[in-house]
Amino acid sequence: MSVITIERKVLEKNDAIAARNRQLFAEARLFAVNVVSSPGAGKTSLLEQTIHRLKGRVRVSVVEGDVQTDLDAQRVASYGAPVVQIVTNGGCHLEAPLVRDALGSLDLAQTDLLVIENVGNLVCPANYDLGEAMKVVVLSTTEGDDKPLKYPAMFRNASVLVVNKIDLLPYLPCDIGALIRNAHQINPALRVFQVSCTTGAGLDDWCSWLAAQVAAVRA
Amino acid sequence: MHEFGIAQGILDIVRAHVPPDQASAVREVRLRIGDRAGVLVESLEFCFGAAVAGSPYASAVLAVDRVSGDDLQVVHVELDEDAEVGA
Ligand SMILES: Nc1nc2c(ncn2[C@@H]2O[C@H](COP(=O)(O)OP(=O)(O)OP(=O)(O)O)[C@@H](O)[C@H]2O)c(=O)[nH]1
Ligand SMILES: [Mg+2]
Repeated sequence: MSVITIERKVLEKNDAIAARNRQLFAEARLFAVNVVSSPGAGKTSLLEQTIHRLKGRVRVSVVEGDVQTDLDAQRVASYGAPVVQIVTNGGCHLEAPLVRDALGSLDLAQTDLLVIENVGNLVCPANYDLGEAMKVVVLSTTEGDDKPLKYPAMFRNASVLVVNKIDLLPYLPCDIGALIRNAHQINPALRVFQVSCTTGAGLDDWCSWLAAQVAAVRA
Repeated sequence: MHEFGIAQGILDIVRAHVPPDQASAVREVRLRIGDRAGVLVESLEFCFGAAVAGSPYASAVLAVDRVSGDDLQVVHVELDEDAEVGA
């Protein structure tokens, strides 16, 4: 037997293209976030509310990732933001080359905030860098307060946790204190926002914080 | 579940390091996989088998060193020299 030593990361191609995406974002001086969650936690709802609230202050462009359909892209477009759809045809997460190809359809020079809505999946997107400044994980109260412990990779790799659907708390056994404690047990540095995209609660805090991140990148 | 894409990525790396005339001599492809890499080893082995089937690398099998952390690396390949020539 002879041995050929290799020592290479399997995802190095993805990571190299993610680094190039990150470079493009830096040149355009935009703030890019990769929004991840399980299906239906409210990524698109949060995006709609964010575009609406930041209108006239922050120019938002969107990359939508979906397994099938462009329904989310249509929803976002109706809020007036430039949007490009990636259909993964069964793929469970976005990868950096898909995002790079999608960027060609957006005017990055006219963008302050780029939101990449990942495929609804609390597992696979955790390990794929797309070039974003940070991952934002959305967790809704209906999913249960134990989810950060059960899907730790996503919470470990995210910088921000948005707890959505807090309007439903009175009807659920979800203990939001425990939810946040569990999230901080996995990742003590997580910044947490508690919001309801239905009532609007907490969204001003979230949008102010986002606007501040954008301002910091453009300063 | 994205093990097929990862299996394909592993095969691409092996291709880049093993000359084509030695493809059929590849026996073991050793990986280092962390417990946080988000990879199901059994599923990856199955997908890798499917990826190499019918290719010059059909005799390659995965060997996995499980570690902690998020590593996902190809460590080395082992070749059977007796099989190299004209195989
Ligand atoms: N009660 C309540 N419902 C909400 C809230 N936010 C979103 N929803 C509802 O939750 C459902 C899913 O919301 P989406 O925004 O489509 O979720 P998503 O994460 O984009 O879903 P996928 O892209 O399919 O993974 C919709 O019916 C929303 O109306 C909220 O704050 N409170
Ligand atoms: Mg959506």
